[in-house]
Amino acid sequence: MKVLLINNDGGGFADYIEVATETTVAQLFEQRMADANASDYLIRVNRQPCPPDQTLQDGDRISITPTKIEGAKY
Amino acid sequence: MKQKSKTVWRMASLVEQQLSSRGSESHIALPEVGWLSCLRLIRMRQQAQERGWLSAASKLERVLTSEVIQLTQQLVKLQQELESATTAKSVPAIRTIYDDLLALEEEFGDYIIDLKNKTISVVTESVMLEGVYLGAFEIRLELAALNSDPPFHYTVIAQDPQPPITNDSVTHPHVQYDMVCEGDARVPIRRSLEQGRLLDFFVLVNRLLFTYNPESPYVALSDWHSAECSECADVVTTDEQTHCTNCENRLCLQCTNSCADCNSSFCHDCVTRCEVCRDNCCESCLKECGLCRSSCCSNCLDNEERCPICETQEDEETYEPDQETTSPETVSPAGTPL
Repeated sequence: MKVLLINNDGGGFADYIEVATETTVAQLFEQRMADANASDYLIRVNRQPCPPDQTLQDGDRISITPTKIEGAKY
Repeated sequence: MKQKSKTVWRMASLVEQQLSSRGSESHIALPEVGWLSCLRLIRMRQQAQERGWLSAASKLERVLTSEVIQLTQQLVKLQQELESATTAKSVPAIRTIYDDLLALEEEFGDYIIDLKNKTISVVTESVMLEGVYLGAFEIRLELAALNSDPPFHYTVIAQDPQPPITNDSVTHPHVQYDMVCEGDARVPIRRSLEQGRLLDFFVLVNRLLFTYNPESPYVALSDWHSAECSECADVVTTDEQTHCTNCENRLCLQCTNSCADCNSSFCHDCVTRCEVCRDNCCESCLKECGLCRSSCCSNCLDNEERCPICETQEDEETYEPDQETTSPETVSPAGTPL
């Protein structure tokens, strides 16, 4: 099935990807953000907070935004 | 304040228009001058060949070759520009933008759409970083004029400004003159706006406000409550500063003058001195000598409120008459020579 994945970490990747049916939010995170800790991110499905074991549906919109983003003075 | 659906839809439509207008008026022109130049050179070469001017024809061929190469390069560049302009810069549907705007209420509790000024605003919760209270911030996104690049501008406005004493244009370690220095958030913020993902934009800026980067602030949080000494202009932290008890000017510990009696702090202009020992002593603690009226600290006045000089003088005056007074004990025996 196809879902829209928006990764606001680093470059800000946003595109449709294919995922296996019955994939959960936690599994998708692990596949796409292997070295990251989920607690360091705001993860939303269809703009709503979600539990990690929520199963994704075709056409879902998943956004991953880091909770800590450092600004600068330059 | 819950926004009316019509207002939200109207704003979503404006945003979609804004995104669609990007690059639609880019200037595209054929290299006409280069083309006409080549045409002229071809005619001249033909005339030269017809007249048997082979050397001239050969020279014209060389010039024509160079002109054709330039013309080819201009055409290739035009082709690239056309391909770039027509590449789908995906513009989200109005419905998608509308859903993003509705989600702002759940994420931030409230948001404001101003159709007249074409702005969308959210207010964050109060920001506290490393124990320093900075207050809440309004994140205001404004649609620029159509065809502008970038299509949006945004500002971050402190609702309860708590600037450091050293720089009142800074309201947050990474916000100066209501402008955020985006740092690591620069690219994701730009992408979210280019792609019309307004919810992501506001969330990104919000997270940035709640994150402190000690490597690159306008003013470090450790210096947030620092102040300039009014005498030497050194910037000192809260722990290293005091203030004049009289005029309340801020002072560093080095510029502070302490009263010898009450230990209160005073600046150079407000401190007074004991006229006898010259120690710092505030006006409240200075007392007048009962005899000479000199202003003295408590150390220099005796129990009878006399300064040392008056005390000594008075003691001397009291002692001398005692020496001349005779008493039975002191009378010399009769006949004793004086």
